[in-house]
Amino acid sequence: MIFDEYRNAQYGDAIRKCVDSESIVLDLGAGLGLHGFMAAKAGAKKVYLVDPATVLNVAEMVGRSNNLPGVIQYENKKIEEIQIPGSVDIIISVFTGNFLLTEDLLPSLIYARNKFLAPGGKMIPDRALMEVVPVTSTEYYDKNIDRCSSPTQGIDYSLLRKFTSNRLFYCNKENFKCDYLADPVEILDIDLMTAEKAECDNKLTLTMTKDGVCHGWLGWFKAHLGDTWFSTSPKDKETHWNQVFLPLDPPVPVQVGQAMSFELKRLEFGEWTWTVTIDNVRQRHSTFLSRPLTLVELEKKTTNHKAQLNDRGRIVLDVLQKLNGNKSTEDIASTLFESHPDLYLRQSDAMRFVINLIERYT
Amino acid sequence: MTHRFNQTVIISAEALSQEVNGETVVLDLKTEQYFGLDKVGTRIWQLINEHRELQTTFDVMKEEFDVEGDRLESDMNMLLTEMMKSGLITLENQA
Repeated sequence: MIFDEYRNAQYGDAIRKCVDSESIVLDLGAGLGLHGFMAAKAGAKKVYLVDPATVLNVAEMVGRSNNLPGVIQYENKKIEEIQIPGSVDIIISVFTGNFLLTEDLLPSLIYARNKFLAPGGKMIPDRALMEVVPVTSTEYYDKNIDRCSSPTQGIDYSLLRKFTSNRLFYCNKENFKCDYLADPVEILDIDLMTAEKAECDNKLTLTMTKDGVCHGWLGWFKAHLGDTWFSTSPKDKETHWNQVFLPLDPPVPVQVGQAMSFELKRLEFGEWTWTVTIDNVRQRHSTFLSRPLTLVELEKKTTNHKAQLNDRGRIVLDVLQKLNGNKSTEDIASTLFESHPDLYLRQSDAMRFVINLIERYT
Repeated sequence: MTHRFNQTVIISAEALSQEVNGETVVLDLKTEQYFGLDKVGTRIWQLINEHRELQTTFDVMKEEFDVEGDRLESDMNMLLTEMMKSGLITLENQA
C-alpha cells in the first residue's frame, strides 16, 4: 500500500495544494505516515499522525530517520481516544475499503470531522463515489461459482453455490477479465464534508449497450483529492485496491437496448444486498446469505438478548479485575494456572493469555 | 393480539431469510435486525411464504404437528404479533 505510487502522487498533489505554514493537519489512519509526512514537508505548522495499530511506531522511526520536521506528533490510539488542543484545518485519510464502505472505516472519519475539523477546514478526500457496471465474465464465473456444481474427489459440494453466489468477490485486472454490458454509473455519492452516515440504499436503471450474458455487477470507488478524481476502476491505472464483483445466479442473458435495474443496499456495519430486475424477473443476493447463521449465533445479535458470561468470559473478567497495579503478571498467571489446571497445560500458556489481555486492555 | 385466520400475510420486501438445520434466521434489511425462528416457527414461515393464507397455514400445522387447535392458534398469534412488530409481515383481509 505504501508503494502505491499512483495513489501517493495524487494524494501528494492534493496535500501540497492546500497545506501552508499555518495548517494544522490530522492524518487519520496514518499507517506508515506517508501523507502526514508529505504535509510536514509541505510546511504544515503541526501534523497529528493517528493510528491505533503498532505500525505507527514504524512511522515514527521512519520520521526520525528521514529528519522530518519536528512538527509531527504520533498518536498510537483510536481517534475516539485522542485529545487535540483546538481544531485541525485539514484531515487526510485513506479510509476507504475496496468498495468504499467495506471495512466500515468511514464512520471514524465522520467522527473525526465532527470533533476536530475547524469551520472552513478541508478534507482529503472530500467526496467519494461508488460506481457499478453490469459485466460478462465467463472465465471468472466458471472458476468461482459454476465450479461449485461439479463434484470434487467424488464429493458433491453443489450446496456451496447458494452461499458463494451471495459473496462479494474482490478481484483485479489480472484475475478478472470482463466486458462491460453498459456504461458504468454512480450508485452512491458521499459528500465527506457533510455526510453523517456511510451507507448506501440506492437504485438505478441502465440500458444495455451490448449483447451478452450478465454474470454480475462490478463495482469500485472514486475519491476526490483536492481538484482531481482518483479512481480504482479497472479502466484506470492500477492501485492497491481491488474491484468488487457482485455475482448473479443464474447469469442473465441481455440484449442491446434492454433495461436492467440494480439496487444496492448496505447500512453501516451491515450486510451488502444487491437486487437486479430485468423483464420483471428479480434476483436478490445478500452477504447475509453467504454464510450459515444458527439461532445460537443469532441470539447474540438481538437487542433483547440477556447475555451471560461463559467460562472463558468469567476467566477474562477475573484476570481484568486483578489488573489493578498491585499484582505482577507472573502472580496473576500463577493463580490462573493453579485454579484452572484443566485449561492450561503449562504455566507459560496461562502467562501468554494474561499478557494478551494486558496488551489489549492496559 | 388475536389475528383472524381469514387474513392473508404480506411478507415485507425487506425480509431476507435463510434456513439452517431446520431453524430460520430472518434479517430485516431496513433495520438490520435479526429475527430467529425455531423449528415450529420455521414451518409457519415456510407455509406463509408458500400460501400467504393464515387459515391454510393453520390447517397444515394442525395436521403436521398433531396439536390442539386452541394451543396452535395461540402460538401462531404470538409469533405473528412478534413478526408484525418487527415489520417482517403485515396482515390483510381477504377480498
